[in-house]
Amino acid sequence: MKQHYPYGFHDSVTPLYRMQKGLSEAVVREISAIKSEPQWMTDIRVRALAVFTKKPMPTWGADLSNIDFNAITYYARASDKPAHSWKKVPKKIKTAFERLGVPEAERKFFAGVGAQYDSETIYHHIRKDIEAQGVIFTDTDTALREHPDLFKKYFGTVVPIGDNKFSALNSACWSGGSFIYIPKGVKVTMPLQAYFRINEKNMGQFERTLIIADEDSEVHYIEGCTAPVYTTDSLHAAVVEIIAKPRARVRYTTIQNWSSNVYNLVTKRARAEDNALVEWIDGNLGSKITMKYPAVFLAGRGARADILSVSLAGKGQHQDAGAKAVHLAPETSSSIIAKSVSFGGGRTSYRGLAQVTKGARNARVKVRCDALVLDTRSRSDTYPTIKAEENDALIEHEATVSKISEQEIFYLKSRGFSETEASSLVVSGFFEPLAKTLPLDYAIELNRLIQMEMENSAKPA
Amino acid sequence: MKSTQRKTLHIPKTCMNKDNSRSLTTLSSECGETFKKRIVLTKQGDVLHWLLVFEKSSPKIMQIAVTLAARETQAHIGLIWRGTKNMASDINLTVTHEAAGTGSRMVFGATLEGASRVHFRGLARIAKKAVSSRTHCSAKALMLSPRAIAFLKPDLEVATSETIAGHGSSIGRPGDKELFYFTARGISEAHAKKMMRDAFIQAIRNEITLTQTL
Repeated sequence: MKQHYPYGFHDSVTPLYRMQKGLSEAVVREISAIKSEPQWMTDIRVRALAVFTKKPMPTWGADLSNIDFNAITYYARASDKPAHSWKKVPKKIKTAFERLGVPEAERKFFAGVGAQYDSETIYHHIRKDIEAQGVIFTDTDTALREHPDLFKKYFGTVVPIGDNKFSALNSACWSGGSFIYIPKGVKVTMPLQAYFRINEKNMGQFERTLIIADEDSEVHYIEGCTAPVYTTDSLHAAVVEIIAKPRARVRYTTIQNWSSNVYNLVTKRARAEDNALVEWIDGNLGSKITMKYPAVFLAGRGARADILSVSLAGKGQHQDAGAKAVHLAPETSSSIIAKSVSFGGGRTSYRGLAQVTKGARNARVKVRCDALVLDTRSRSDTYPTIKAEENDALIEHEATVSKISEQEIFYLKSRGFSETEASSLVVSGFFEPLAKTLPLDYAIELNRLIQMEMENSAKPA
Repeated sequence: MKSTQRKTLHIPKTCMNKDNSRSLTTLSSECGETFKKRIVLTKQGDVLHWLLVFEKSSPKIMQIAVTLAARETQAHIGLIWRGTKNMASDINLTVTHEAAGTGSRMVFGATLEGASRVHFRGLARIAKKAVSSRTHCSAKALMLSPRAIAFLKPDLEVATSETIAGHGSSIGRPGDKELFYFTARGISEAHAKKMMRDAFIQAIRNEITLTQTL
């Protein structure tokens, strides 16, 4: 277990309400009742639970055999309702977010911030000038109440409930998450941020995020996540759906830094319409096991996808990450870059799909995977899938797995760096494409985290 | 201009060379509906050159496994799949590196005409003790028909850091520039495509037969 995980602190917050452990139809109906949801949503939840129960556990990826669904709490709330000012957030929770630097980051970089604590959003705020342009940035539960037509129109259209076992689980138990609507032609120049924190032991967090970027609009959304270090496991099974309308641009950045007792099993998918651009920037640093493959369905002519997936796996971690680009329309293009580093017995896997379906004429796909394996205890796998059903598709894939360059280490050591410092620098350089997309302070923090992880791995077990 | 004849591969079926290397050739005429073959290299320094060529017909299912069990053994495997009409194959090629200093190279090349369909999975597996090993897998498909389907999966499983592993794959059709070059010289587009197809296959063949060591 990581010893220097800086966000592994636990807050002594007693939840206002916590459900009994275990999952049943009664639990699902109770979640729906607590939220006073319309009947159609309750029905979706119950249907999704049936799908979840019916679907077998996936065995093709990371080892999920130790997840005990009966040992998980599926709903816990720490506050009554989301606050719109940090002053109104309960003091202990506010202190936790201050330790995580969220309010300070909001002042510096963001047009809006949401913060989720266990099952519920405890804070949501958007700058007045952004709101005045018609932008909706709120938690998903509020969106269901206040924007029911918009919500119903898009909910579950990109990730249907039966898509996979964990999207079904999310559809049954979802709570919290962000809802974003960007009206036609509006360009949100500063990013919107959401921060997800699990505080309870054996907690399941199932947030649901829905982003709709209307024609010619632009938005950048950043999410971060942390949890305390416990000896028992928690589960994070989120679903993210993005709809990028014609000519819209959506960038979705994730810096996943869960503690090493969290199973992170997330379904992220976007639909890009005519000439839209969707960018997934996916950094996976924490968690015990991550299985996450951000996908873009290129449904409109000229749509584009850019996916950058970065993983760092240390002792006891398996980062099974990757990306999917499915070309459904002509003149579409996608670029996937995956980078991973495994050390201290960690394991990284790239699992990806580049598919050109019938009718997607002149599609272009480029996939590049690079993996560094830093020691003989660690492992790296690459499982790309390339499928073409059009003869004018151009698909390229390249992958390498190698150890850290001895020349680079020697160069740095001869200039006074220790072996660990030199390795950290090389790894930070390897992750530069991710750091370049982040606000400056975040990039510095990313490098600091990498250095800490590497130092930790260098210590004797 | 008359169309070029398909070239026949003149390689001895099995040939043990002086330098510890073995050359094998497998042709589609020798295989039935299913082709399963496993080769284990157990003698230090053994080198296997294996060329598999499938044209006109091919097994529906192919499972080919090569294990590099002894130190410094090498496998160079070339698989040429020339799909026409309704030819369809599901190919699984696995090379397992079990010993130190081993090397492998997998080269898969497919040309797809008519309603042919190929599914290729090339897996290079490097075990923990196979330190200082190298592997590379290349999978390429040349799409010559709008009804053809290619499905490529070049996988890597690497359990040690002391290794260099890579793969590359591409799917595309004959390039417009190259076609223009031919047509500008009076060669019909159909004939130019045939020449490009043959050149594509020849390049795959050369890659495997001319590579001596890794």
